[in-house]
Amino acid sequence: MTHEEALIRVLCQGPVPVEAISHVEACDSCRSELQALRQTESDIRRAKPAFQARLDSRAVLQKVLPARAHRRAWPAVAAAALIAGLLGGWSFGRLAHSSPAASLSAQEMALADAPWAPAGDDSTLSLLQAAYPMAERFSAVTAADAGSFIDSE
Amino acid sequence: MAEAPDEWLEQIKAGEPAAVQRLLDELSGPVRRYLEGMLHNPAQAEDLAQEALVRLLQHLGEFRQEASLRTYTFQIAHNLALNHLAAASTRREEYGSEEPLQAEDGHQGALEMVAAKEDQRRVRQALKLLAPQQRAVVILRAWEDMSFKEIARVMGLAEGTAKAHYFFALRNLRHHLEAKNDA
Repeated sequence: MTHEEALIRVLCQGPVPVEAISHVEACDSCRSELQALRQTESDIRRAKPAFQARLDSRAVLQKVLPARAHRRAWPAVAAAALIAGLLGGWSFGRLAHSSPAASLSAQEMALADAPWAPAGDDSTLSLLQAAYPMAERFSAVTAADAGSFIDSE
Repeated sequence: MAEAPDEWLEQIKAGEPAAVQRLLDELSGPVRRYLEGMLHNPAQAEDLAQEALVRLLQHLGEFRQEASLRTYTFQIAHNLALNHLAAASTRREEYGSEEPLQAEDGHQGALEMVAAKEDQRRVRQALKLLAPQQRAVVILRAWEDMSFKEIARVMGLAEGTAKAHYFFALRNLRHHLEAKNDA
């Protein structure tokens, strides 16, 4: 066993082989180095910054939420437009303003139990459901914001 | 830590906003501290910490619970840090903001506090001289109290390799600190 192997085994956590302990105990150089390394460890721990300034969770959520909401919302908008066209007699623009589906915000539509959601994507929807009310409380995410996040992807 | 973030995972998936908030609150401070230790640039550490948490939330569905949520988050942050340092190196960007990290003051007298802060500054300066992999293992071990198994997972190494990095990092740090004392 080399000096380094013995020191690594004694210094780092985990079961220490008897051979490593015997080596370090019998080797002046290893004993001295082990002491110095322990002191260095202690110096590093003392240099640990105390602050744990948290991030603004709004900024994190706004980056996650609009893109998902936007991606999930477009099929709902398309479906609303198709229904509007089939019903006839109404202009798309007018219907889009008056139909309940079109009047929902992108986030609200994303929260609907979307039948077009891909299989196995439940976690995304769950996360969105979790994140949405909180983000709404903090600040409303505008459609423009959502667009810019999509563009930046 | 009153409760491990993993225990909130089900709550997050069940749609509890408080759990998402708690997750971000619990992880953002340590991740930011780790990145600041790695980059020595508070502004860029904040940006990368935010990016790490965004990616965590975006990829939570892929989280298989083979590791803890904390380890998974640090894994994302570590990869971002290495990519950032590699890019910075290509750009020949100089790191080393002299802006001091806020130190743990306790109830020391003024002179002792100044001396303690000076010691902390010296150690952090010496940390900057380590190779990124060695710096990472030291910070994760000494500041984040991770086991070598966790460190190995964060860094994508074998546990023995993480221990060897730690040993050589401490040895190098000691040499850097002694050189500074002699100077």
